[in-house]
Amino acid sequence: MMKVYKISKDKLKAYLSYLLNKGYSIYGPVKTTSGDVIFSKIEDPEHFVDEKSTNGPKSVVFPEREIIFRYREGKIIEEKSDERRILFGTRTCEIEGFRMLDDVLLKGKYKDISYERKRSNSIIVNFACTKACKYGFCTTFQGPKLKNGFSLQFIDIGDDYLVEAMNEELIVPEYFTEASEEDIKKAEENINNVYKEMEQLPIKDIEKKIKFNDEIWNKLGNYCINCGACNYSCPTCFCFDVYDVKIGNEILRIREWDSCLLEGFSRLAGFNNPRKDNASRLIQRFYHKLVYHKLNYGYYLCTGCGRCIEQCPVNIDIRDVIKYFSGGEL
Amino acid sequence: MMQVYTNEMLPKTVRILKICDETPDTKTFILENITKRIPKPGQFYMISVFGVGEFPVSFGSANENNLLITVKKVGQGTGALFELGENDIVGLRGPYGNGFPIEEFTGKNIVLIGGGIGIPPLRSVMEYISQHRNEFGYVQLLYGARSPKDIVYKDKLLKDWPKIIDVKLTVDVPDETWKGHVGVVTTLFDQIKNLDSIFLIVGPEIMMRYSVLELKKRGVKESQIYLSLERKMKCGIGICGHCNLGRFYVCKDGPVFRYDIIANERELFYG
Repeated sequence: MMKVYKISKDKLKAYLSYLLNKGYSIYGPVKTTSGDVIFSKIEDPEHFVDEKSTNGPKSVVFPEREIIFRYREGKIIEEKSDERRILFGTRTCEIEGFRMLDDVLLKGKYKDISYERKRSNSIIVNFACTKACKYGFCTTFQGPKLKNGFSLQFIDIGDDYLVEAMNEELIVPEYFTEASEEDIKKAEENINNVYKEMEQLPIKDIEKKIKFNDEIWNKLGNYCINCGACNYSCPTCFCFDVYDVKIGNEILRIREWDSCLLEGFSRLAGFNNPRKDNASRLIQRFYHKLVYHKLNYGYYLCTGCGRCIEQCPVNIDIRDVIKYFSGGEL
Repeated sequence: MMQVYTNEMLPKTVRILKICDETPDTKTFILENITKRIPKPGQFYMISVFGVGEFPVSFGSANENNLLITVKKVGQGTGALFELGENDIVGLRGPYGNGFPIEEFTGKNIVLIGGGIGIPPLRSVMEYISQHRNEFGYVQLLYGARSPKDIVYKDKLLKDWPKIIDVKLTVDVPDETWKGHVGVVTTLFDQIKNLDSIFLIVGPEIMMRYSVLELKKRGVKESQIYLSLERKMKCGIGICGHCNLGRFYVCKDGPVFRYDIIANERELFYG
């Protein structure tokens, strides 16, 4: 049963200090000296900000680069990490992404053990958004608030946060008090504001409307510079590369995020490549998100976070693609 | 029973027991079959050359002790494998993929069509057929190589298999020793005895494209045709995303596909 509390904003940093002192590793959105908000390890509660980060928490459970094993003197030594951690201040679009990663990485015939270890050791403290972000379109999908998949969920209600607790693991009476009916109503209103502020995209049946044979792909292909920023910032992209590195007498097998927009992604030995041009690589990206994953899992591989739009240096915009194939102009 | 999962990305270390030259650029490696598992015809393994990387390879033959793979030197991974000798160690994961649904072909006529280094998966099928010869009808194997010196598994193709099935060979470019058929593999198709057969095709994508085209011209249904595909693979277990063919993953949904299921995939028959 979910319980509802509230916590005063004044007490938030003290609460974070309390958790740090308890020995938890805490990751969350941190403002850097350059002003960027980066999801990273929180060493000092003062660095925490209640803002959507540029990168999101994906790399905590699915690192950009990690060692699968070390090979030394004919022996394979597995790399294991089992740090118990709190992801504090995630956004709904990010944790919804985790749920999608779980389907691919944990629910098939084979499990991604490395991901599972980090995922199952991560306690989620989600912050539901109460304001529409600039590029986001989450209301087209799951919306700004999680229904489940968290330990605590914070919702801004002015001077306090309403706190939904799926379990009591992180509830400390010193910081949390009873929430009133009025607080709950205020939280609902604030969440509904996001629905009012955000444009809903015509996503319905997009998998039936989108077409391979369309000038849009060459047009976007002419802009794309294969930087891969869309994939790197995406909370649902999971493709990875595997390669070996020699360091001294040790060989490391590494896995690292890959990008379907890079020329080498599908290139075989002998320079055969089923995807030779930008247009076909963009088709792969958008079809994976809007068609293939829908066919295989029943939902679109997108949480409307808007990061791919924000990060794209040439303004390729998934919202435009969705609207275009639903009968709009480009 | 609760399933215990292991880290599938960790290879087993196995010894290379024997290496033989097949052609100037192709070698056969016999590896320890350390797990004792017998793969299904058409399945594949991920082979590691430690320090260089990992790549998918179909097996040609297997028993409880040995695993036979045949590799053409085409890139970094295969190049590094060629540098290794007998008793050297490689990494092995698998078997992966679906393989040919060979039990479903019981009682049917079968035509195996191979091009170049596409022959090892067909060898794994041939091993099954030779052990269960009475369960199948008329079996033909049509194999095309670039030139006589590029023919892989010469002993099998010229001596062993003709004893139990009908084998037809062709080369694109003959030399002075070649007395057989000349032309691409589809020029053998007029010698196909039964068009009601199951057709198993393995070879370069362009060869498979024209084979399918020629078979369809002769009235063969798409559902009679099976292809074994090759794509870039980094995990082999359906998660790394490299081998996407439309909604399918070649590593877990394939590498063997009944043609009618993938006929409309736009990335099929690239090149």
